[in-house]
Amino acid sequence: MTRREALRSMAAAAAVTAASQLAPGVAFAAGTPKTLSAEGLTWKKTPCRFCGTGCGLLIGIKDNRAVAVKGDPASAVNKGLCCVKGYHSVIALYGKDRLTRAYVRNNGQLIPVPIGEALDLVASKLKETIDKHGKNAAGIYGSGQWTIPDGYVASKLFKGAIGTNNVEANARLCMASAVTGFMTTFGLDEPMGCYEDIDHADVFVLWGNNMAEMHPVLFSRMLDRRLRNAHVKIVDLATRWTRTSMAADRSILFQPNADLALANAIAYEMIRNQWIHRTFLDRHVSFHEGKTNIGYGTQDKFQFTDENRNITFNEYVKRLEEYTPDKVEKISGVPARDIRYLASLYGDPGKKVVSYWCMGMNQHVRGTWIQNLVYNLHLLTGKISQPGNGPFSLTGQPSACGTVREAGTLTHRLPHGDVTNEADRKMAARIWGVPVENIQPKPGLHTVEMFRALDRGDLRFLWIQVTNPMVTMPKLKRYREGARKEGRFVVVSDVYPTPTTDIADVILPSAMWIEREGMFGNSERRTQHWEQMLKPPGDAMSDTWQLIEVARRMGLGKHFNWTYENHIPEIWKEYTSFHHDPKHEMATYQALRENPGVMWPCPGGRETKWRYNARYDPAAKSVNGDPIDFYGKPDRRAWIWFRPWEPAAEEPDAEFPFWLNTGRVVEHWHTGSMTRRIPILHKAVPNAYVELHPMDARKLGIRNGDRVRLTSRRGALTLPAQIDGRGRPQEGHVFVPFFDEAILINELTLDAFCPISKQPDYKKCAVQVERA
Amino acid sequence: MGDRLRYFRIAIATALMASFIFVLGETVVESQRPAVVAAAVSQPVPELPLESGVFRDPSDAREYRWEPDARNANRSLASFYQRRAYDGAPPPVPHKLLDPGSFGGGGCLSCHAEGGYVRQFKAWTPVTPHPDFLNCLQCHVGEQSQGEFRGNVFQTVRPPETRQAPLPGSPPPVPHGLQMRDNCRACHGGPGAVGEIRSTHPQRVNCRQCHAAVAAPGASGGEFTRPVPGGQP
Repeated sequence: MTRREALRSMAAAAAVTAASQLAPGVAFAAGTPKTLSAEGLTWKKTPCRFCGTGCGLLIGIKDNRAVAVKGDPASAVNKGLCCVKGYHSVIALYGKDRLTRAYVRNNGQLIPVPIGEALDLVASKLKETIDKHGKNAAGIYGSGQWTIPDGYVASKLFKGAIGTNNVEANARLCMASAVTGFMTTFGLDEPMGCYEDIDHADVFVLWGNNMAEMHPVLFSRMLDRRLRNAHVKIVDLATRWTRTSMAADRSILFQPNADLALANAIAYEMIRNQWIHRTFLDRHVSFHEGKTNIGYGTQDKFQFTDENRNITFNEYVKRLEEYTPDKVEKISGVPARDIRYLASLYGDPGKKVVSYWCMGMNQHVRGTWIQNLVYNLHLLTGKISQPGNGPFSLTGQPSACGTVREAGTLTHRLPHGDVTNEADRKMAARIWGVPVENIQPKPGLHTVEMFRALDRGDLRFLWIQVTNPMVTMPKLKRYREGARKEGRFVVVSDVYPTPTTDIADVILPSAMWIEREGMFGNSERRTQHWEQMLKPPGDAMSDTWQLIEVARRMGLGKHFNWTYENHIPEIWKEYTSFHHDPKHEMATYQALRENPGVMWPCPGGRETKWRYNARYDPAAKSVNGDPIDFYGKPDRRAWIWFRPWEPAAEEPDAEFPFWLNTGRVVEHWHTGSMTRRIPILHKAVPNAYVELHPMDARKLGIRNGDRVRLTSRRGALTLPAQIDGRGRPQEGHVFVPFFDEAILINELTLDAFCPISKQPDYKKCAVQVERA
Repeated sequence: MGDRLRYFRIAIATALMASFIFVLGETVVESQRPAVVAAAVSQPVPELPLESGVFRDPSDAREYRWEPDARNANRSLASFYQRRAYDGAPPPVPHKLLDPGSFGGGGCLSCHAEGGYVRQFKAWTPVTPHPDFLNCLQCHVGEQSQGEFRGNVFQTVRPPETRQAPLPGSPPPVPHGLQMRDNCRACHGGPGAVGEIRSTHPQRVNCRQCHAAVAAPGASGGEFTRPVPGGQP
């Protein structure tokens, strides 16, 4: 401390003492310690730790502590604004029960051990499992919160060096349907547009997406657009009335799963009125259909492969005749005139339309189908790949795109392409320096099947990093009990104790976010880098470095021959060598350090804001002045799929008469293991609750705050009622947020999934509701 | 026997009436519970010499003249910072949300855009410095409970000091960042202002004419130097 600083702090202390005497009983800025002066405070850039929006933050660092947050005005994502989680994000580093030591289970008890000892045990158990039960008895389960280096190293270790494709991520529960939607329609993953679309669009249609709470910064950007342009309209399509419905110009409520019928009816109505772009369809679109009655995946070892059949435009139109607005009114509960209104918005050639969605369309037993059907609306009208026009799939985790989709940490993926493709395997083997035979040509276990395999005993070793499946798995009881069975070895890397560390045999303390260097990739293909700003507490170590340490202990160190100082830039160099082509080119390490984020593809350092449009995308080829080029598919066309409406896996009946929907609140992120440790957020929403429609509550004699018992075929739960709170379900529906580890709603949910994406549906199952 | 029953009935009726009065009283007390954190007594604000006649007041100065004297403000600098995790953090909403289903917008702005006295809360409304941001509840969240989930040891730095005027009587610089708070009058003017930092002359709209914004902490600052010609120090 300089002399001046010392004098200042003495003066400040004296002032506080004097003030306390003047006004006894008043705490003077209790949160502000007497010793930390603002002098020498530095600000460093990072993407936010929480959702997939990828806001740029500036973190105030002083004496190895993060002390403040500002929105980064230079970030093209949030332009200086954050949400309450972002502003208080650094407080999540300082929870009192932060894991700073490794633990090993001994006679049922978790005993603290030096981290080196724990890493020895992990390596020897992994080796032992492979020797005894084969490579495919081991697996790793991460998440979209993995930094890109974490996911890349996990994939290289398991798929390349060890040779099992059992690499999965929580993203399977979060946006797998978005991936299969993109792949089936466009042949390449991730959105064509970007957030800048908000600044150009005239109409926003939100499909099952409570953006006001879940993507608040983007929602604010949208409200700002409307505030300055009176003609701009926001339409909320949802199964529950939310803050978004309140803010929207129009709220349209539909029955669960009926979005499939609704999208088809909008298409039908647009075609009937000739509100479609014929030239665009002739040049850039082909028509297809696949299998129907495709099941729900609730049985173990469920298999499904779709089939493509080419159809003509007329055949497509013929199939849509089942979906006239009047017929769909009966399925969806949406009045035919509202369907016609939606068609008039999508179909008006003078209006630029953006569709947004996230979990409502992703966590859906027909998740892939509904993505296809919403793409159809943009393709029929040619409203795609231009500023202000386009479908946009939002993500929920900070690097669901960067780590899981781009670096390829789903079982069937590689950093470039699929394990089933020989050329992709050869490329990975060459870059990784492993024999090509090491990389198995068959995908391994997808997430639900991974936890089923653990229960059955087909999987014996599971390393879980940076996610909390013992809160998030549907039909939780089976998977919790399975993980606890004899002969299973579960390693959990995390920053706090959670229900998942409760089932661990080894807990590894992780360095969190700005305690290590890393990169995230957000929803709009933007890669963002941050430097290590703080020393991790105690023995905590980054997930990347934990993996490298275990690899070295298994004799696989030669594939990870980096120092701590250079490993992140070296990993980035190696990883991006997978993407040296104009369709995928990633930013250089230097460019990432210098910018608040860079969007890929960026061949020659130039970002691509709108893909498939030669005006913006160097990979697209313009033909006779027509700039649109869907180069992802072999026929260089986008595919319009006819997909029918099919019902949900479980619907309310006499015994279980209510729909159960689950989701989030603005204050808490994912399972709340970080946000609940931030006092302001915990005080705002201290526990989960069940939202009821006021009429249902009256019928059942339930008042606000009463204890309510929910029962499904999987389990039961008692929790407080909330009536006319921030959300209002329709009559016959209830809603429960999933962040609360003391009120585990996933005990009740069903593990039915979309057969194409294998992503479970957390939004629809049947429950009984009664006063407890 | 009859008497006993009668006494019993009277006792019951009295008990009922008492509990009714208690409940009613509690309800009234609850509804009048102030929305703000206990106020600290603000220090007296030294006045500048009377300025009348020096400048002609702008047309909206009338609004200030009609305001009742609110020198005994219900917001002090200490409570201002106590409500924020760090200088610049969004404070939570200290009162019940009138409509929890709302996202913010007009519901919040009907009081927080212009300010004014709210009898229900016995308080002058703080004015938002950024009324263009409508999704208020994205940053300003309610408070349902007072406990913590697991405890937290976060620390921040001291907020900036006030009255850092370089010369006696000269206008002090703005000691804080201006991001999301570049409307000075929100906190420094009007009866909802924070006591210690209330401007004596809020009608002089062009604040930054005299009050320069100092570089944010951490920006490379220091004193201006330049090499002397000839290389001599």
